Amino acid sequence: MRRLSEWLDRGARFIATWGLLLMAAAMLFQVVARYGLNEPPAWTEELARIAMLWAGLAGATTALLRRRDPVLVRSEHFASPRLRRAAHWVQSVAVMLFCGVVLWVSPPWLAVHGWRVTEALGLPSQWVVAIVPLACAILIIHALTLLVSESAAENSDNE
Amino acid sequence: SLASDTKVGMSLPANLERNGAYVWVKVCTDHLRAGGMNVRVYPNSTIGGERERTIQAQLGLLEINVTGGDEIGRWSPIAAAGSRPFLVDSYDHMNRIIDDTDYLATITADLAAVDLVMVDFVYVASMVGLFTRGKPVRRIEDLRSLRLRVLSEADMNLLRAWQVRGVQVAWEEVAQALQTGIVDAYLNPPNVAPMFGHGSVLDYYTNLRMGPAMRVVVASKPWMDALSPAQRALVRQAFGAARAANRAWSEQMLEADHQALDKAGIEWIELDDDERATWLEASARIAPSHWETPAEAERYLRFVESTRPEGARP
Amino acid sequence: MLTAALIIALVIALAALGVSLAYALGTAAVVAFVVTDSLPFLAAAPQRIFSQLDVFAIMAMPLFILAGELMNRAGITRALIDVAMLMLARLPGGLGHVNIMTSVFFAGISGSATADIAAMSNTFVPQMEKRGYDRQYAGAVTAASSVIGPIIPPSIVLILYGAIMSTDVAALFAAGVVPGLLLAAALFATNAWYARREGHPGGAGEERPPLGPTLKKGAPALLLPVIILGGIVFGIVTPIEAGALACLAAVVIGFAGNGLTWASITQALRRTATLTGSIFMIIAAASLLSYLIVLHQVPDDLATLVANIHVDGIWFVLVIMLTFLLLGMGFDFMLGLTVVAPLLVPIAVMQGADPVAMGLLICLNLSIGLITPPLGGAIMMVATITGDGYWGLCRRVLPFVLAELAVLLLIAVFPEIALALPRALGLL
Ligand code: NA
Ligand code: NA
Repeated sequence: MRRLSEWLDRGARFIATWGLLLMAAAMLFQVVARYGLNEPPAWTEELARIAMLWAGLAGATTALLRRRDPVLVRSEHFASPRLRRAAHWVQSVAVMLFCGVVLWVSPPWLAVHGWRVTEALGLPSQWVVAIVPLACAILIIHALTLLVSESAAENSDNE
Repeated sequence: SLASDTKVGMSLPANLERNGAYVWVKVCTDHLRAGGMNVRVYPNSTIGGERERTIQAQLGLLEINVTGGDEIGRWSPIAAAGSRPFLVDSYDHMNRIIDDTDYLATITADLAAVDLVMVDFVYVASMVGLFTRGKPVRRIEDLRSLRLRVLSEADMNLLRAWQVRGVQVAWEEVAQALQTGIVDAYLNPPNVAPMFGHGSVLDYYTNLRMGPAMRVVVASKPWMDALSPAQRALVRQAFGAARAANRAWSEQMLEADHQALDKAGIEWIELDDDERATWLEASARIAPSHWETPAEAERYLRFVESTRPEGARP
Repeated sequence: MLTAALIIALVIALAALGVSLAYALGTAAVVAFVVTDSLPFLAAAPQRIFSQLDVFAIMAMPLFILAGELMNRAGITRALIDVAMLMLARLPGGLGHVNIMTSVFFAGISGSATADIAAMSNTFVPQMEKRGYDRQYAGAVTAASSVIGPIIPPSIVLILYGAIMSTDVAALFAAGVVPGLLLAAALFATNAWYARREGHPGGAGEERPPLGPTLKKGAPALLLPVIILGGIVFGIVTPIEAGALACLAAVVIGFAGNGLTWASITQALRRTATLTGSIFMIIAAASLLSYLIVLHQVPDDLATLVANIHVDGIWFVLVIMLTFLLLGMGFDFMLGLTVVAPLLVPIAVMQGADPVAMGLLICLNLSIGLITPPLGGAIMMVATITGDGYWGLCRRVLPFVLAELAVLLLIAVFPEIALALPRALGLL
């Protein structure tokens, strides 16, 4: 379980890092193109948007694994270890419920996107939107990992 | 319950005076309610933008959707061909295409594969013309010294065919672009400039009659398929009543628009046939859009020519 | 009504158990679909999530987060502090003023209060303590002045507001300039009052950094806000492109000053992705709740309700401000931004309030919420970094909160204060 999470996390970090770079590069290119070229390309915006979506949702999975998501109350500060474990359990169930529902209803929605391509680049829409169920699936796996081993986050955290 | 109610989505406000699409929706929903159906209307894109509403309709979550032509053009080559300018002369002509040919039926057949049903075209304003600043435009040559605001990549084809300079500007930024001189002209139905307060910066309106200003009404196929025969009859009646009301509304639009432009201080320019011919010729060179196919474009042209009112020249 | 109370109670209960906001909201949303007999409509959930995130305007958010991360690592913060020292260190309560002034400078290049606090807590609090300020006061000034960060553009809160409410981000940015400076003025005044009352150190004897080198090092950092803002306001670049340019500038300045390494760039990218991801999940979860609210036509009912109780004009705006103040006491700002603002703001706009002024007021309100107890995100962060007691900090921060609320009230009553600049620039 933990190995699977770590492996998925490496992939997510890769997507997140390069996605952000690609997004920034596309935007910089857009400025250059607008003042340097006669006809600014229409695809920069779309490329940047897709890169942002993939990077952001990949980032959501790394945030969960490192317990970086904003909280009102830090469960790490709970005095009783039993209470702390209960809190982590509730968190994982919450992740699995929310992401599980989104994942569950995704297939017909993906099918509808099978009838589309993106406006500017003409990419299959299905592939672009697939990051939503993909991120949900990874989030569920991470939630399970965090249930099994409370310390998975602290170990892989070296920022 | 929410699931069994008939839900209608649209992007424009629920305004009976200015919004022809709402005239359609209001009459349709009144009819459905009178027939015992529960109806909810979601204007102003509250239920989602164009793409989101289309997908909701395809999933069977939104029963009736008023949307833009692009949303169906991607799946129906003949509908895509229908967005070519200067083919349709008047709303009378458009009515005939809709009533007397297989145009809607062809689109419906195309959309069946993506779980949608083509219901109607609704007219939302007078036909599209040209607003300009500083210079009256009659022939296409007059436009070449001005900069035309365009919206999308598809419009670039129009610019190339007309050999006119253009700038891509988002609608929210048009007022500012007009003021600073980035843009001198835009294509829109005549009610647009007064509605958005551009009257003080724009000087002329050329009634090009480029084509109808329409939105499309589509229904969710899963929903239509699940209706009982009695319900389906009621829905069909409601659609018919809505169409009649929308056509009646559009007939009194042109005169009102003309007066509104007079009041806003924008001069109305009518074209004679010679002048309009220069626009027709140039527009014939517009490259086909991404979604149309030669065969379907040909078929659409046949529909157009076979229904052209007598005496009107192509 | 009962359902709404139930859902809010569920969010609070889950959050109190330490569940992160995104998943507390998400779980509550799923439960809400079930109890309102709307289960089939969860089929729209993935599309809803995708559409809410697939917004071009949101892109400015990760870009400015990244720019801030890069600037912190590039040593730009240090340069800004030195310039502020040069200007203000010799006044009574000098370091307090420097702290606030640095936040003003920093606000011009970073988009959030979090970035401000991260940059300043480690530098100012120990220094102020060394010069004889009490530690909690140092933390309180740092927390209070961080509120300027999201008001003076660029601003991530304003970007998100613009994206969620379809309001022009350039106009929102321009509207933030004067209120941001007013906030600073109010904080300077409060700091001066504290300095007299408590006899804070500072005065003619205070040492200052050398003039020439300080300005030389600080100049690029000070020029950056001018370039970013100028570019946006004069329509040369969009706010999004400005974010990308800010990143590029930070990298260039960082490498020129030897402050940046490839490793620190990777770190900045990872942190940006993580932060962006957290915000994305909150938007995603909130988008389900707002879809349900719209499906059941709650906004229409709410508008009718508001119309019937005859609260309108400035009074309704004040009611909204009060609502957000209360929200800010207990919740993360994303909840207000993604769930509550879309419900209330359209009604105020319908009654004649200006959408840009409303956007600025709400963002100001949400930012002040960062330093209002019982739950002030900024105070909590300062407390975490400096190791101070949370409630002690709250007590010291309170006069600053009152000063900022006075600015909020002023702008609510005279929205022209915020709107004059965007109007003059032709953005309205
Ligand atoms: Na800022
Ligand atoms: Na500060």
